[in-house]
Amino acid sequence: MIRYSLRRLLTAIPLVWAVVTLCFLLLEAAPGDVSGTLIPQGASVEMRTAIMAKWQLEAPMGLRYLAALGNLCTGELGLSVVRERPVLDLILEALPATLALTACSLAMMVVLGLGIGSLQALRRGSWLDRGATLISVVLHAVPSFWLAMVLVLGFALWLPVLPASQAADPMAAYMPGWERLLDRLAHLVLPALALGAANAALIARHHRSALLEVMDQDFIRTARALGLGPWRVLTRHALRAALLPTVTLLGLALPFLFSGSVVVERVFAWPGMGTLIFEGIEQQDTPVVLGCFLVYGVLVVVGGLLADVATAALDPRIRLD
Amino acid sequence: MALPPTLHSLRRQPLALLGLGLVLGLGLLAIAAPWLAPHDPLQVQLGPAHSPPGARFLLGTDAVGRDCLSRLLYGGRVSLPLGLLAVAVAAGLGTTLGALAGFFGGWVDKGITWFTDLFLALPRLVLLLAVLAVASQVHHGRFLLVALVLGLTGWMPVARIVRSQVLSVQARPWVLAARGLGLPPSRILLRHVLPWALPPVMVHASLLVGTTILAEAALSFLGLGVPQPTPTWGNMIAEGMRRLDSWWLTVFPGLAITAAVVGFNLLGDGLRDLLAQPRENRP
Repeated sequence: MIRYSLRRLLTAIPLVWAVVTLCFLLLEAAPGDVSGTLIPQGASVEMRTAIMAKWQLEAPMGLRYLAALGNLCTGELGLSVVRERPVLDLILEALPATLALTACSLAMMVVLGLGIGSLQALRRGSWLDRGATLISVVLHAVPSFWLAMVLVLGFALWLPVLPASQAADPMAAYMPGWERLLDRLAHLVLPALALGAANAALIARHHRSALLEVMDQDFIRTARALGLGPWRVLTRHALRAALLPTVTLLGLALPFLFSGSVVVERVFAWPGMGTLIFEGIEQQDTPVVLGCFLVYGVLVVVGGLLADVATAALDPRIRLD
Repeated sequence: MALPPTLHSLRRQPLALLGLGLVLGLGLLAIAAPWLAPHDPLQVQLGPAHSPPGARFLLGTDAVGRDCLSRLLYGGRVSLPLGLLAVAVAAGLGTTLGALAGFFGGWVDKGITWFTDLFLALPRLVLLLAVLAVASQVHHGRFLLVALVLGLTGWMPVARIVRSQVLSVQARPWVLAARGLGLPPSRILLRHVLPWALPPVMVHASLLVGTTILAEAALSFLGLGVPQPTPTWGNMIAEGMRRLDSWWLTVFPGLAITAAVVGFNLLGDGLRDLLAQPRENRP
């Protein structure tokens, strides 16, 4: 399995390289460059040439491409032109916030999706089943940023129980440890809900049909015939078999979650990767954008790999090679 | 009744019919917007800014006193056709690439599959951001640009489906017969293979319209879609973001988006169930 993982990661290198190159070409095709942000209006000619020379903005495209690739291979991923700080530092500041958000959403997707899907499958055809199906059809169609705003309206404006912006209270540094943790968690609830709801609905639908399919199979009938209770049949036998497609789905959901986090982060002023890359693109700060794309690419590859490894662990029939 | 067979079996699926009804209803509302809208959607200061829904303005007014109901109706004239156009681009491109990959195999297949994986590996919205930021100076033809970009970043699932479908159809007897007769490959592909790959594409296209409408709304929300003053459902929500306590600015366009996406999704699910049913005239 380790050899398989290593080979998967190695074959992903050209993929990540292509992603970065594509992104570089896109930024090159853009009219103007970072000098629009960098050089103040009414700057003198000397100042302008000095800035252009400092960041080598007038070098030929091929040279700048090689320099950008070189930057990515060094530890710091290059220097942000606008903020004059190593891109790696910026990413390391933003990444925990986004990973916390994504992990919370994933956890919510798993708990809600599997829970509701299982309930539906056990009570097939009941009002609960139909109601949940209807809700999941609607939730799957709701734009995440709109849900985010509606949640803010409901739980921060009308019923002020949860914070609606930033990842932590501005006074968090002065709080005792447990209170700080609580504050962090409170800030996570609404964004994670907004980001994960649509995917939780999707997982509930898939899990319901997967479980129904498994419940019809012989080994479940055998387990029942042995006199096991419905709960034990579900948790020990059916759930394990029905989990496979869901795990694959979770691995595939990662790019969607990152996409969603860009808009959801904007609603909640969440200091994460989405905000970083959005600002980077706006300011045409090439090193920042390339660094973010690199990290996204790596995360997606690793996520897919983890999903495959988990699938193999769940199903002894699957061999990774 | 003399319905085509597809529509006839659709009648037995209440949810799919509901989807069809939602799609047709929203489409009609958008088409009839010039006659239905009580006011000019672009006219500012029709009434006081931020007035809540009431008798004079059924869905309230926005920050510059425009009528939200009229803007909502006209917004459908951008969001819906843009979604359809983008999906047409995505389905066309995906079908072409998928068919080529499945039919020719070898290096063509490897290259196209790698390309597909490349595009699938990226968060779509991040890619869209990069492309549209590049094109941010384009003001004319923004509608076409956004549709094209959405299409160019949404074809991958279609390509995968068509590829696997082409692979499975290729082993069927009639394709072998056509090869045995010495027909040119282009004719075999177009006449004997591709038609069997199209039904799943139809299903997926319907589901794709939903995600495309969502992506377009997200772009508009970020200020990169069709710009103001032209109303789209996405940029109306973006306006609501600035004044969250004027809840009507946010809530109604979001409901319109949700209704449209639910409609296309239900329709797609219904079509899929329909295709899954065994019928004599299917391969």
